[in-house]
Amino acid sequence: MNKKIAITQKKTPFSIFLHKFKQRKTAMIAGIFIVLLVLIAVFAPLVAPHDPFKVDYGSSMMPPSFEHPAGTDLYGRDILSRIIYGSRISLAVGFTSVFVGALAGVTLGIISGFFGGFLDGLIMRTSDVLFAFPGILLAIAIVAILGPGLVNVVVAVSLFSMPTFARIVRGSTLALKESLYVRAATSLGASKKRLMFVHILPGTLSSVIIYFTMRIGTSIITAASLSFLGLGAQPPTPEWGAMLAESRDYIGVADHMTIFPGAAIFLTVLFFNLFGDGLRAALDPKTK
Amino acid sequence: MNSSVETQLAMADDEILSVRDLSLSFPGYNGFTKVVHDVSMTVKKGETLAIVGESGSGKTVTMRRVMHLLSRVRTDSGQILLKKRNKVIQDITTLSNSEAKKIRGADMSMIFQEPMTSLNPLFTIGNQLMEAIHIHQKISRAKAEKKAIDLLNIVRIPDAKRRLSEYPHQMSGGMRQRVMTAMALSSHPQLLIADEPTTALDVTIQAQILALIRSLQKEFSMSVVFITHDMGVVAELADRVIVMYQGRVVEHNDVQSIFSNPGHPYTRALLKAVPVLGSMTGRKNPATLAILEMEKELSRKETDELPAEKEIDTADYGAPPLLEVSHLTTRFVSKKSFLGKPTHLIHAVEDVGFKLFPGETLGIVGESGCGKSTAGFSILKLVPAKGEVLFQGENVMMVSDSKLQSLRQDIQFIFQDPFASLNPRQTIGASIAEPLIIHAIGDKGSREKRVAKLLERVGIPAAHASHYPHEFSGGQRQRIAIARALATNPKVIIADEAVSALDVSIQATVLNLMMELQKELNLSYMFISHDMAVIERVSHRVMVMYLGQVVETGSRRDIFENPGHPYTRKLLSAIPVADPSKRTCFNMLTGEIPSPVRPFGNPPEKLVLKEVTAGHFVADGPADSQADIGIG
Repeated sequence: MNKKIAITQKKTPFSIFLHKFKQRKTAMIAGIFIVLLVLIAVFAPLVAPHDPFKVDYGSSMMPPSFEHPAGTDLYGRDILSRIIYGSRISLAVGFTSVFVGALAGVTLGIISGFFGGFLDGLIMRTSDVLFAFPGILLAIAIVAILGPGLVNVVVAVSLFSMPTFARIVRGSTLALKESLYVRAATSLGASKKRLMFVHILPGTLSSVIIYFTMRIGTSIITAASLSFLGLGAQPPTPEWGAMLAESRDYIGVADHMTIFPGAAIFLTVLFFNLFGDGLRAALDPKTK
Repeated sequence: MNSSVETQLAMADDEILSVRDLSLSFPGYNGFTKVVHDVSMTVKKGETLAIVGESGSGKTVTMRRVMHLLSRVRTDSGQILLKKRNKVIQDITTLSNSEAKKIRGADMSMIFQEPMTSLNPLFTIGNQLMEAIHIHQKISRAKAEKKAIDLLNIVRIPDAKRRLSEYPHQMSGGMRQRVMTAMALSSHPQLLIADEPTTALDVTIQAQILALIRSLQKEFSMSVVFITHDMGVVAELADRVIVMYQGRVVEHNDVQSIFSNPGHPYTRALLKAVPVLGSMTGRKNPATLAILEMEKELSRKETDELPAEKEIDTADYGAPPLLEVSHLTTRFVSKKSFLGKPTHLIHAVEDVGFKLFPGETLGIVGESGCGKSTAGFSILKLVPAKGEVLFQGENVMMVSDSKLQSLRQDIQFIFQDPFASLNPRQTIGASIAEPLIIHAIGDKGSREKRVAKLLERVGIPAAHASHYPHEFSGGQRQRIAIARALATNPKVIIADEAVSALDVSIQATVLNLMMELQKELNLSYMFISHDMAVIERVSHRVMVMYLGQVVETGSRRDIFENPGHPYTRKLLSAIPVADPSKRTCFNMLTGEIPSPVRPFGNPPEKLVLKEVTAGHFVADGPADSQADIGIG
């Protein structure tokens, strides 16, 4: 009776994840929104009703209308089109900065956790130093040194995402290093490189993916803040933070100029966080 | 209550608990799944009912439902009638949570399998005991404390007063299980449900707990429901036995009849699968178990032959030893001073030496903390160790890292926990191919063929290579682990408690597989186990370890038929015998397993092994004083 193996359908780790994730309704909605947002960003020229750079002094600061659903800004440019084009920048900056930060952080974290000793001390104490700076201040300092511009914003934001990734991965590595299956692989004669990248790394990825998603939201806010301060995207680039900065002085006269870019930032970050939360529920072994 | 309900709830005079046609369902991905089917049982006053079955047979779920401890389970039908202290009969299935709370702990209580996790680590023993007392009895603090001390005395915890202020982590597993028992007894329940209370304990400690439960039952004329998978424990303790299989009661009889005349094929298969201590007496070589398969058993005619035991006569003592270990020593730092200097060491393995011959199984036996597993790890340098390990003339301790990697081809490991030893993110095919990839053996196509062949050999269809470990049961995973160990055609396999986590029927098939493979491939095993009966079944030679040192070594017959060291004799006497007519008196067993932690620079006294007969070595005097071993 033990010879028979009752497996009706194949359950890969991915299919289990999908099953769990589908049960989280809010995360599903957030996921759909994010997909939509990405599509809008990619096909911005097709979606946007107007040219985001076209200046029309005749219709400056017009409230929302049928022609301009989100109104126009100081120079009469269509705000909806600028938000749509702005999503390209926000998503690109958010994603690349977290990606670079994660890549560096994961590598450092796994080295730190696997080898321990002096290397571990060096990497972790450096992270502690980075942690000690308030994130936005650190980013301002870096941009101040490197000069304003979107590329430097990416550098700044990725630098301060890095230590958290390193810490998360180091923690999982320390636990997995002691796990029986890693010990089993060692007893089979696996090299250190193989242990690190074939056996330990995949085990840490679930927490990395969760944090990665959540971090995109934070990075979008940071990038927008830097642009708001004039350190990121330079005019006339349509960037959400920069748009807020331009319209700040007219908040009493034309509130639609701040409301729509603000709402874009708010909703994007919210949905990334909800999505990350859903991922955590589906990926984290500690939650059922 | 009207008269019709009363007649419905009638119970016989001597009955305490009556479960009638109980069916339970668990919620799952695809709606509810029925896990317990029409289970009926009765427990009489003062008797011990044993519920036997393998994991997943529904034995624990049924009793947790009786305790009203399950929240997500649906009760499809049936009644659970409990006669309360005031003779009122209560149907537990109709109770709300708060009503059940009053019954739980007062009229019936439960002890669990894991003494390590069932006590709250943040409170002292005294706190937890007194809390248990206060829940059902309104008495003063001083009185409750006195009662707590009484309870600890009842469960034979020495120095009870001082123990009250200790935390769970300061106590051993056996002690914690005693505390749990004391809590369960705090309001003198009529019914005690014990869910595998000794499974996680060492055999000498298990014997003490069994003796305790036996004597408590007499003292308080309590009814006990004992859930277990160990037929030895059943034979020692039970009056009546219920055998469960796949959520159904398949047999129900008194203990004598179950053992002498098992009615259901499953019971027969179960009894055949248990390695019985002493069954190998007088035989030179180990042999496979004559396992009955249930399907065949159902259709077997009286005249059909029983499956035969196969003798494993592969050991070749004429050849030079494959593995020659001497002065193997492994010490871990247990405590450090503020400046990082070690102050206490764990002497896990102390000056151990042995030889392993081609085709031979060397059984290494001992209780937890005796260093048997560490000895296995040390041989492959999986833990830092000193000494000399000669494998085919080469000293494993001295070779370079790359040479060590390639030596690991020839010596393979099988670990205790088949759930943890396979990478959960690799398909089993990839796991089995792993050693081939590591040692760069073959190409992709030939590896796939080899994996398929190995899987078929261990009894798993090759088509399942693309599945993940979590899709297999424990026994199947252990087979997969064996297939992985065989991938590189090793000469030596170190099996560290390889069958300890498996159900008996699965354990038997895995043991047989290992022995058949030995015969086929002329493997040498280092078989590490705490289970004397399993060791007796599989070993050519046996080594007994105690506190990191070897106390006795010799052929299997030497150790089991003529044990020389008091510790070996103690181990042998602690094993429950699967024969209800030969109940052992466990009362001679006392004492704890001492700790191998010692202050720095204070190594234990080295034991000198003396050859009593050819090849049979016994340590001169016990490892510690007589009292520590617990004799006298």
